[in-house]
Amino acid sequence: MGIARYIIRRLLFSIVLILGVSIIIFSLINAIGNPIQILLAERPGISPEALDAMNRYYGLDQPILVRYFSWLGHMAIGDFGTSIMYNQPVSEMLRLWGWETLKIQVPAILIALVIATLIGVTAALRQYSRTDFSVMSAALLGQSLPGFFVGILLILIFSYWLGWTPSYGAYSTRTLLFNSVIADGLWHMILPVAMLAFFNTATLTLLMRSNLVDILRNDFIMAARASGLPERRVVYRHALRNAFIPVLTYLGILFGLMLGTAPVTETVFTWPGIGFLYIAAIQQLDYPVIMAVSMTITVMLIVTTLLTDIAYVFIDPRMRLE
Amino acid sequence: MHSTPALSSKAALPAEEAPPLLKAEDLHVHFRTGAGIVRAVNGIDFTVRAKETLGLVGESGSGKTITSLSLLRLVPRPAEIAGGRIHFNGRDLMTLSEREMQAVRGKHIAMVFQNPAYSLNPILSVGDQLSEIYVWHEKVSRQAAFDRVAELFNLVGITDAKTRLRQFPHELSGGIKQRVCIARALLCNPALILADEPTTNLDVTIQSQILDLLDRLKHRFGTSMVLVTHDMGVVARMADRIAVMYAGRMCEIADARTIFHNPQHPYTRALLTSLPRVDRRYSETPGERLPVIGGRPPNLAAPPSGCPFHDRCVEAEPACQAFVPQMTEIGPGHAVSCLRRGSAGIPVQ
Repeated sequence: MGIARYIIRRLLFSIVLILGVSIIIFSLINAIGNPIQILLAERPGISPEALDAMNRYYGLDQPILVRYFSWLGHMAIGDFGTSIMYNQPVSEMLRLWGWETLKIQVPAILIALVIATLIGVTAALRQYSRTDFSVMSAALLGQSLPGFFVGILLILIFSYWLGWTPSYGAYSTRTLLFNSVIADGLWHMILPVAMLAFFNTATLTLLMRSNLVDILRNDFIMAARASGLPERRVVYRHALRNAFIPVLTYLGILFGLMLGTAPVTETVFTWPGIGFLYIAAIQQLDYPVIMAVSMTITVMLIVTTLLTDIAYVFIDPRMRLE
Repeated sequence: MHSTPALSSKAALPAEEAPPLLKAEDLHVHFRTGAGIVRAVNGIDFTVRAKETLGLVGESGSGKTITSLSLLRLVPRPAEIAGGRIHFNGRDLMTLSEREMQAVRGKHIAMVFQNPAYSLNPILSVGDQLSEIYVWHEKVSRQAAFDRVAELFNLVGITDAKTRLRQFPHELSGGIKQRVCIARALLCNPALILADEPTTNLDVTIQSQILDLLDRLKHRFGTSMVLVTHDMGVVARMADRIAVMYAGRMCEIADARTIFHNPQHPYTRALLTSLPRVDRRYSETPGERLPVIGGRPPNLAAPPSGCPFHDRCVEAEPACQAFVPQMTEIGPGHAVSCLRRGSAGIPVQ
């Protein structure tokens, strides 16, 4: 049917896109030069024979096309190679460090969505009132403040002055809070989640409020009121569902880019996630990790975009036209 | 100066045999803006009798749409109803709670909007959104509501009602959408339908069909109608009585025949002479031009003093600036607010 064909077409397009980005990533990394030579440049004692052996071991003596397809082929079966700095399979590292990133990013987005909906609706229903004005000013300010600044401010207030929360890491190194891994983990999550949620809430609130203000001006809202439906139902069933359509796009971007925005948060809080790993890998020129994380960011963004587009078809009947 | 208008209280409206279905008295709607209060509706009175169609005419900005919305107490912010009484079915709607008002909207007084493209929710099927209203008012099952909607679809000339129920607004043509909106207004068999320019956004051929449909349904169910329009052709065809508005005030109310054959207010006359006629040719040569009303519609933030029409009126005299004319009965069922026609006037403070 129409919908199935639409999904298949978008799926094929996504695959082409992923392949395209993989070529770019591979070319860029390749342009930096031979990693073995760069890594061993400061060790003059190495013999040319040993260098040759290492090049052969990592497959760097092969022509570029062979290396590209070998990388692609291995990735397709979930093999991202071995990290140079940790000497561990990169796929295993992605799983472990990725989980830590999801742990703070997903709750932050969901919390932001709930708060932004509540505040956005309140502000939109009192358009141009003092409440609306204050909410909008706060949201604009929140959106303009750099994330790392808010993070450092949170650490200053809650860790340094008040001493309520840990300032770094995902777990305590000596004694766990309440002797429980879960309690200790949650305790460590508070500040990073707060920082991410702060920024997401500001943006989502502005978006939600402006969409809702637009929708509430529509004749069909007035018509629903003129039909005697109670205001709550007019707002939540008729207006909010329509206002949510553009928000969905932004949610898709938030989920897709969560690995892309992770480096800042995870650096501020020394959080052992993908972003932290990414920065470390770049500093150490850990090629397999850099490439794997870059590809993961790409695939996540493309997949969430695809899911968003599919979700649209189900939410907005106008998209079902073919 | 001659015929200095007498100071008088508000003149009584024509007396009627049976109590009217709806009676609006001294209705005021204000917009609070940064520049001050804009009186969009400035003390108007009118009645709607059972089974009649009242045509509410006037140019854009004369307050006719706001008037119809105020009958449902739904004027959009920043406008608000600043005073008046709306007697309907023996109650003053202005004194009802919001909850009681919700029970009136859609059930006893329903509305058809100007642009059918925008007055249906784009993401709900038409069956869903119409049955929701019926379930809400009549407390029936969803299935019963769907049956009722299908019945009305047949009635308003939508063929294949069962299939249409599941369709979304974007799948329907403009004419069908307006039929859906009319079906929505008729769901609970209201006593009064407010139709705000119901055909302005439709093709001419569809306009005619929709007007016929409204007229037929109105007679069949004995529904009263307030037809808001700027189109004198539409009121000529539909209205039993006509109320002419200008700058938030009422100029003239009379039965349709009187308005067209014996208009008294200079504005009503100007409106009628500026109607193009099929049996005449118009061109740019003097004497062959289509007559227009000179000047501009008044700025309601700074309305002219006295009679709001005086600065465009060919019959204006100095008193028109100094006195606000009041609606005064000059014949059976015929009221006009013009000092030159003997209306009472209130001096401008």
